[in-house]
Amino acid sequence: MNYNMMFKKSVVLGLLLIFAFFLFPLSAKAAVPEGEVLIVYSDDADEAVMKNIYQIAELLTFGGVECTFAPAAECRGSLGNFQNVIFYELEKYPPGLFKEIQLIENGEAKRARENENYRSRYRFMFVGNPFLKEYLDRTERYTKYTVHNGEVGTFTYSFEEQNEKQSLAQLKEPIFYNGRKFDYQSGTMLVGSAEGYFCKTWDIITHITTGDLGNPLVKAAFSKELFLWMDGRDQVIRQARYLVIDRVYPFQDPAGLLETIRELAENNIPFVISVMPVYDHGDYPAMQHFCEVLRYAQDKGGAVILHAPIHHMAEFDVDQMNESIATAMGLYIRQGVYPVGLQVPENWMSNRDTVEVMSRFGTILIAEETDPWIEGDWKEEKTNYVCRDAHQWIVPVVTLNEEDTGYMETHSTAVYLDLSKDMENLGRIIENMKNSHVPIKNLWEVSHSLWTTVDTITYENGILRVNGKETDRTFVPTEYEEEFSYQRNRRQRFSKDLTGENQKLAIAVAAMSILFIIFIIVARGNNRRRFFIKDEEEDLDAYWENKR
Amino acid sequence: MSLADCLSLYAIAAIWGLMFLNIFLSIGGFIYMIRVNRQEKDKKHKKHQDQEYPMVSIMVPAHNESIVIGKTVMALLAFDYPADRYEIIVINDNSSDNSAQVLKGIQEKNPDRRLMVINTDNIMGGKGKSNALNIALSVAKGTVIAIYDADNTPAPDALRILVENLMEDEKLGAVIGKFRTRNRNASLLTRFVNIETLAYQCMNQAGRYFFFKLCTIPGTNYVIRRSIIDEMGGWDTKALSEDTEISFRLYRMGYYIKFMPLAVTWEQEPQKLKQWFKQRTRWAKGNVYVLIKNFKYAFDPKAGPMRLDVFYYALVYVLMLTSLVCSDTIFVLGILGLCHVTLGGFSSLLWGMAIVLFVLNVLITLSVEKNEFNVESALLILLMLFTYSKMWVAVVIKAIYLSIQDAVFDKEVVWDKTERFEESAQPAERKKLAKR
Repeated sequence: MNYNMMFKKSVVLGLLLIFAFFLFPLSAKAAVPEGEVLIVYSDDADEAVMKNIYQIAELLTFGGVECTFAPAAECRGSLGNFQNVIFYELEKYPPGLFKEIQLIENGEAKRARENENYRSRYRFMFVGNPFLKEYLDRTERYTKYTVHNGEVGTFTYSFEEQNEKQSLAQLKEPIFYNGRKFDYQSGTMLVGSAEGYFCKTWDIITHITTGDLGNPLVKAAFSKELFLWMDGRDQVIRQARYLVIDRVYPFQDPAGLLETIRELAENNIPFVISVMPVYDHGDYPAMQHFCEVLRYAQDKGGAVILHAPIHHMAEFDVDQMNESIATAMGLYIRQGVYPVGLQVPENWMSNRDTVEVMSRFGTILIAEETDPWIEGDWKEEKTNYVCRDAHQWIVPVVTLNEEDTGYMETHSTAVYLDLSKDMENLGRIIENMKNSHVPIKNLWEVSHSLWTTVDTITYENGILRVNGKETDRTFVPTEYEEEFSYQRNRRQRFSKDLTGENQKLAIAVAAMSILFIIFIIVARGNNRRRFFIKDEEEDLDAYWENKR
Repeated sequence: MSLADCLSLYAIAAIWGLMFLNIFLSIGGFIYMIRVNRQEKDKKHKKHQDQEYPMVSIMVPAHNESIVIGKTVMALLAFDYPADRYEIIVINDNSSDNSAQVLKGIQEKNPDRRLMVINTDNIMGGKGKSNALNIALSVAKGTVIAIYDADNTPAPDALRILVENLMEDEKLGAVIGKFRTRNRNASLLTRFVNIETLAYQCMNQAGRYFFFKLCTIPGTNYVIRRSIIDEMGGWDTKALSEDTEISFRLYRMGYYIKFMPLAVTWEQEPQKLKQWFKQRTRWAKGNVYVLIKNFKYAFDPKAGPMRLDVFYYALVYVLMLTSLVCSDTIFVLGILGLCHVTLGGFSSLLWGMAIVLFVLNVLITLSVEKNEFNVESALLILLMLFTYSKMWVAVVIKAIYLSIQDAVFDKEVVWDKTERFEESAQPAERKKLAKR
């Protein structure tokens, strides 16, 4: 090797190094976290699109699937790292994205041709139409689809035999793939006079014709198709449904709750009671009576879960929250009530602090509420990292109308019952649940585990252990003290509530007012006698003047 | 329990506590007033022989009072008390107006009457009411001292009633009469003052006397034994409220004070806010001085019933002030959305009931008087609650501030004279005019 040759090699090597130096950070920046599913969305995705992306991420979370979501520009070079990729309503994307998809599709097609038994590990789902149309055009499959005009389609889907559900759904530039060879098709979408499908799969591509996830029927159907797409078409997905008596407050008359429990027990409907946390006065008679009813409910197949403490912390304090939960849990546990899960606001799953709080609970119920003090961080994190804690999720059911109890069957759902509103409809709810194709389940049929800073509860194979000790939840009525001493002095009673004192005060004021009115009448009578009756002086001044 | 809850609870407890105390005193006052009126009707106070009446020295401190002093002296000369048994000493205290001439004119017209005028200069006089009274005391010949302010027009029988009552009991150190607002129709402010005078000075005095034989000398229209004043060493020149101060001293000496509402004097009250504020600040400042000076006796068993009075003043000035400040602050902050009371049962019903009681309580006192009980008065009471009583808070805060300032800078007490106004006619004259 002469000197000239060495010089040339050094220059090339140097250039390569410089190129690698600049390339490395770019590729590092473009890298997205790994997961089972990658959701790719438009580079200019607006709030409405992001809401739908988070809905898909939530559905995957409830199914226990970790996913990654990022704009198309950030996903370049990462498609091959994921077996499942969802392209959601892509409108703005880097041109190289098609090449990457095509490369994988062609590679898989080649392997399939070479080996008849080859089953591709890649699955691409196109949600929406324009991006798929563009891709089919780029790959010269112009004749494999038909284009239709319209922004709204009539969507029909069947979750169970002979029970079709129909709804109008929004569409963007609808197309239907018409290739003769396809592997799967479900639902129908009527656009104008053309009838197409809701979901269709050919080779490694699956097409969902609408991404209108704000529509409950589309969301339920999408959820089902999503998990069928991932888990395989032969899988029968049918998760459980729970009836949850929502937000039951301690220190209230438990008569209504007891009546509901009895009615549900008579109808053999298992149920869950979500109790609000309490931090003090666990020994008060009202709390004892409330817990007595909860113990009775546990014996009748009811399970208890604890609603997360309601807080007003601008700066969320994990330790303080854990302490509050531990106090509330401890209070119930000492009364023989064993909450087996935690009910949290819906946005708790997308915040690092609240996820840390939830990590101590195996079973999580999502409440139909949002915590206004919590801000989600999924946009920054780009992943549903909460999945790593492998929770058992129960989420509010999505109902299509008043008559049904929801069609979401890819994850466990909760039908919430509000004691203050739904008592009149209890019979109808029980009937609907009995008739539902989604089975009603007892929370005592599945395992649970949780721990607080003070207590641990595990439930496995029908054995409940509290702080490691096997515990029986058979109901035994309790004898109460007739005269309970609240150990409150007058000041404490006043500071607790003035209502009682107001009543006494009102009586005193009424008595005083009557007395004063009598006084006034007496005084007026006296004055009349003094000043107007003839035998008296005409007026006091004149009287004294006369005396002068 | 938040700070707002604590303060609300305190305000509610204090306001209702004071409310019930007032109601209690009003009930006693009402019974006493009715009883006294019956005595008057039954003519229980029979006139004594002239020689039985003690010699009385009526002392009238006056500083630039030319507008009102003439009427006052004429009213004093018209007493139905034996003319040879009382003398009038007017201390024309460093006046720069024509008071001296006015008084001289009256002296000349009434040569046979014992009317003494002491004109002081800025060396001897001009040091406040107490100093003026001490000067008068040095020349007074009476065994009983009567005090009238320069703006008073007492009823002709006022002195006789006061002295007759004083003669009834050896342990009675002083007898005080009732004072009414002469110019009550002059302005909205004087109407308020009139109601306040009847409800909180007259009725409260009556109630305290009825239950505890406790009274506070109001500064005018009272008689006191000369021997007591001599024993006390005269009036305390440092006290702005010499009347309250002397009452406390009297009780410590083992005497008591009687309230006699039949002895009436009419006095001129400030017509303008500025004068009212000045006068009330002086009173409040004086009361704060007396309260601080005498608070030690609140826990002294030898102080007798005076201890109750110390507590009463402490309640009015400390509890009332702080509770009103707290409740008003919470109310304003609540409206602005800056504070929220989470106390269970903390409702407008509480305030509603307090207002009803307040109005009824004041109406009782008006019902005892002639021509005071009417719808207009009821509306005025309501208006008073939201305006006049708030002004009282400002008065006390200023008085406390000035007291602290005086203590820090060791300031000398200055008698801040209340400005007088010309009046159209006397009450009796007005009534005659109205009848015509």
